[in-house]
Amino acid sequence: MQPIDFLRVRKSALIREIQALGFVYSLIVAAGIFFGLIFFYKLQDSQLHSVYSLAGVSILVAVLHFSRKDHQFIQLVSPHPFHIFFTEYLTLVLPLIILSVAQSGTPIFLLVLIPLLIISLLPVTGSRFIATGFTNKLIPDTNFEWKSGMRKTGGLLILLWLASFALTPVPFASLIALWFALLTVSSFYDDGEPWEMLEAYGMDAKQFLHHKIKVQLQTYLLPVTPVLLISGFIFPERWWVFLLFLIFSSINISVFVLSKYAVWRPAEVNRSASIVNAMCMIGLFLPFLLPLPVFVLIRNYRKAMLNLKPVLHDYH
Amino acid sequence: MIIIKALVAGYKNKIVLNGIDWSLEAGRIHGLAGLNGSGKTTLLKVMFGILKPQSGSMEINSVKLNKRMMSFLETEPYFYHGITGNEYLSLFKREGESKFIAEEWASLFHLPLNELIDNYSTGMKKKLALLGIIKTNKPLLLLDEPYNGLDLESSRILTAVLKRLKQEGKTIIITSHLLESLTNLCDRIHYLKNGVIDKTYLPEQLSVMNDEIFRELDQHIDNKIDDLMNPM
Repeated sequence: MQPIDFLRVRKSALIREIQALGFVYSLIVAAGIFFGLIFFYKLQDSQLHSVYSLAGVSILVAVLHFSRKDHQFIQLVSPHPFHIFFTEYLTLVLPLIILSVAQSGTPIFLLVLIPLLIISLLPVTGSRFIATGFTNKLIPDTNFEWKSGMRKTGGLLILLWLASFALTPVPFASLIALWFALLTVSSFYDDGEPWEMLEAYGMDAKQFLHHKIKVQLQTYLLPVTPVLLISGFIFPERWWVFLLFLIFSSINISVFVLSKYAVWRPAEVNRSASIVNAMCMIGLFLPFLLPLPVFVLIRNYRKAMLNLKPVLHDYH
Repeated sequence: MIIIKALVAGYKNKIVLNGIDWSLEAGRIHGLAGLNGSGKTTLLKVMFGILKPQSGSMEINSVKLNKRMMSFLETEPYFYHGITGNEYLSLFKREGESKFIAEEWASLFHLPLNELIDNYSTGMKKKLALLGIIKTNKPLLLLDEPYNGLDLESSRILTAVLKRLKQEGKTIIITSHLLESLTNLCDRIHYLKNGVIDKTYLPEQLSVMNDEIFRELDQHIDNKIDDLMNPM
């Protein structure tokens, strides 16, 4: 397959996802993208900001590259997987390059092509499940999403977490590293477990969802809280920003869990919630989108209850 | 006693179970035999509550069947990616006082619990699913083709384990399309045909079973092969 064929496949998949979202969500997503692009455009007012956004976009593409699940497939169908990866990432970043050049008047953002090239060349082997013995001991037994996820992208997550610590003296830079970590974590919730694992808890739908959210939040807050506490200590006048991040990122984790069970089917991979999850995450930086995670939380709680009740009704 | 009355179930427009009336003694191993597509898996799925019946009732000792009292092993169990056998087993809670020592059970089945399930063979996955079921210690076990994919030693171990579970008072319903695997183990073998329990046999009636069940089928197969070998 040629890179152009892959782009066609991606286009069809995107159209399907948008159709599945429905009108209201599509509108919210479109508005989110639009304002996101405006935000990016405004950010390109200085060379320093362009460099920051270059670094941010590079990390984002690296997260995407390491968390995507079609590496083996692409290696099978194409003799040059690099061409496919690079074409896809370039297509994704192209609007940002245009916006940056148009606003800043300098081609500095074009340097993003270098990390894109390097990332596209980075191999992700068939055996993606790297043993992460130490970190997995810290994760509760019932949190199989994180145990599995850490084996897939644990290296990147640990790197981002260390970066968030290292960046605490730079205003809000640690939050950006934590945001990328949260973005990586969002991919932990794509796979639906088989019903044996769902029923192993012996809980009804309500107990199950509450337990699930509690365990996921415990695991998430353990590494994140120290970073935010140190940041708050260094910038005491902005403590509320770190507190807001803690609250809204926790809401996002709950959204990931509920989005998964709102559409859960045994042993199926479901990424239909990924766009909405991504919008909720962007909401952490765009104030007008802040209510979205709360809205999705309530909506998906109801949907998850309805979806799980027939499976877990015997455990009340 | 498990009593199933007038059970009708199927998929969309196709009725698979056509008014099953079935009484099973508790604390026994019951074999469920039948040709492919006869409804063995459908019956187990309906009993476990994965598939909703269109009508009928199912009770155990006068209590409506529910998931809290049973475990179900699927023909081809699916596992979550990226977790180890140990992590999978740790999710299951054990009912009752007795202990379940995962490492010892795993060593009996030669199962490397610290390895990722993604690296397991089909047989190893089947064994892991079985350990999950043994761990939960529920009174009724529904096992769909549990011998599929197991090697000779594991098959013998499984037979021995199931016999021991029966001694502990468990009721086991096990399906197979190979009659011989059922006669070694079961107290009763029930033959499912045309969506109903057609006949029930004792294990020592293997030759009668073979005769009754397969005489007509064998004749049909012979005729078909004759036609193929000697075309007009």
